[in-house]
Amino acid sequence: MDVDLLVPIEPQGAMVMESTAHDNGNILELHHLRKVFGGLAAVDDVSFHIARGEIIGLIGPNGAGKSTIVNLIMGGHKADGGTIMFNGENIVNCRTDEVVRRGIARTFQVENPLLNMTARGNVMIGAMPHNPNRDDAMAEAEEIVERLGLGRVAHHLATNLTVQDRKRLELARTLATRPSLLLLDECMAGLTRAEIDQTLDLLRQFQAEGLSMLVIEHVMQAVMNISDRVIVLDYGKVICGGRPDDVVHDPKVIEAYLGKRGYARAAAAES
Amino acid sequence: MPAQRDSKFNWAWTVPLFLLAVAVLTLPLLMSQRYLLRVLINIFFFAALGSAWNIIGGYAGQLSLGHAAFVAFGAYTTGLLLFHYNVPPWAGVLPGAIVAAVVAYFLGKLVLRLRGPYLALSTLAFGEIVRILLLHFTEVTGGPLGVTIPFTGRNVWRLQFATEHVNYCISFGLLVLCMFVSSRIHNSRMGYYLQAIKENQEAAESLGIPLARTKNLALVISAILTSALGGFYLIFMTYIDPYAVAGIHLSIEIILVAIIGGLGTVWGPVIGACTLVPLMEISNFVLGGGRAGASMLIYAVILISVVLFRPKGLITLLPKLEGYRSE
Repeated sequence: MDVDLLVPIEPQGAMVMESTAHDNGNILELHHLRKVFGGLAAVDDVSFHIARGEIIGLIGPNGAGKSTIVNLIMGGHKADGGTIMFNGENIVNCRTDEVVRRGIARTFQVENPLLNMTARGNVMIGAMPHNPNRDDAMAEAEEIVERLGLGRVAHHLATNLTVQDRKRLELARTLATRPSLLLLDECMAGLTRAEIDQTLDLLRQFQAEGLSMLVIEHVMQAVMNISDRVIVLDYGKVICGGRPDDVVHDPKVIEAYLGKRGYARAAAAES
Repeated sequence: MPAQRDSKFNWAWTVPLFLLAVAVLTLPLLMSQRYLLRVLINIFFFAALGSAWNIIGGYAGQLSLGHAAFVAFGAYTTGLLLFHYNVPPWAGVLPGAIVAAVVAYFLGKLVLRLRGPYLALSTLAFGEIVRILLLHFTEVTGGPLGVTIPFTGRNVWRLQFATEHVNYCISFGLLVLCMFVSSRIHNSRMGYYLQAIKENQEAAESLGIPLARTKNLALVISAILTSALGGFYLIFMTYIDPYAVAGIHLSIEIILVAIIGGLGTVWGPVIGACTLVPLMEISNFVLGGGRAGASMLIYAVILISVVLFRPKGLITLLPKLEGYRSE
């Protein structure tokens, strides 16, 4: 007998949304999003969209505001302006658990598991909102854990996992919440080349199953490899957006990463 | 390998528990010493209080330092209804529970968003505010004189008896109720949510756990159980005043019972009460009583020893009872 003391709520994001009259195929749209910390505009009039099934790469120098955008979408920060349309509904300033229930999930830049629970336990908690019965939640968690290659460490405490396993655990936890949009915050930092390739394969599998993704990364090859489009952020503003090849050759982008002098040097070296 | 949490009722425990219950209930028939019975009642009372506090303090990890206020809500509501309107205490507990639930709900909305020391301080302040308000509104609460329930002879309606046997059964029943609720929460979805929240709030939130609602529910449940115990305190002690039922010392005793026994476990508060209450009685006997002074010293020594040597509580000395921890 499992006493369920909280009213179970069916997630809306898990199912593919019916096309409404206003559905333009975009799962996420940011319009003039703005977030100010003290005197600093961390996110300054940012607008872009993610179409259903698309993988968008979000790149930019450190401090550009990429993680802030993820936090704004997830309801971790209160926006100072703009809207965030998820499946046509404005979710700006929704509570985090509500955003997750609607179908958006995120990973953390620094892995953030429940350290004193096992890997499987971590995933099971994510599966619980959809599965009032603990055994069903456990079964779903086992499935996800196997799928992401964590089978042999399923019973290990999260605090004892290797870096790669922890990163996989981050992904597994997001899957447990049955999202339709994944926000991946530097999920490939600290991985070897082979591990990066494995992760990319996994992400492509997710895309094939209909998941849309926003991938924040510094590992350039990974981003260029997997993204359908790339958006570049610098000092809180979108400075460029388009196909990976176009973006990487854009002078503004190179300047943002290398600085004016660096760009000049690179240009000189080329000629 | 960590033990697996059991969502189904564990039938293997039923028989020993049942036998234990029978043993406990027949004990007073063998005991004529009223004093010993009162000590046992005290043990049940504090074990139940610790168990109720554990739901918000142990499972959710939200250390409420003003829980005596909820004891006061139960005691005063029941007491005033009995004194002025002759409402029998077993009926008066219900309005007390409602008052406690409503206050807990609004308190939770206010303070449960705070973390660590700020939460502790604000609940501490809440407890003191309740005590001072009870002192102040003399026309309603009797102020420092409190509420006395005079003994007018044996009266089943008002739960007044010549011996302590009925009180013994009631306190035991309340303990069983608190432990039952505690155990059900521990093994339910809510228990997992609370554990995740206690562990890492940010991660719990990103998994879709509704933080505020879960913590608030835990506080409300804890408050309701605590207020019922306040109602019992009234008929047991037949006298309440703001210091006795809303004083900081009571809040501290409640927390001590839970922490020393084992935070976040079902049997921890029982062990804590079985340790603290007799020790208190013995120290009063040997060192000459008084609320301050000797007893506080003993509390301090025990607490420091437990924190140093058995930080997870004395229940770690009895691993079978520790039962099901995290999955």
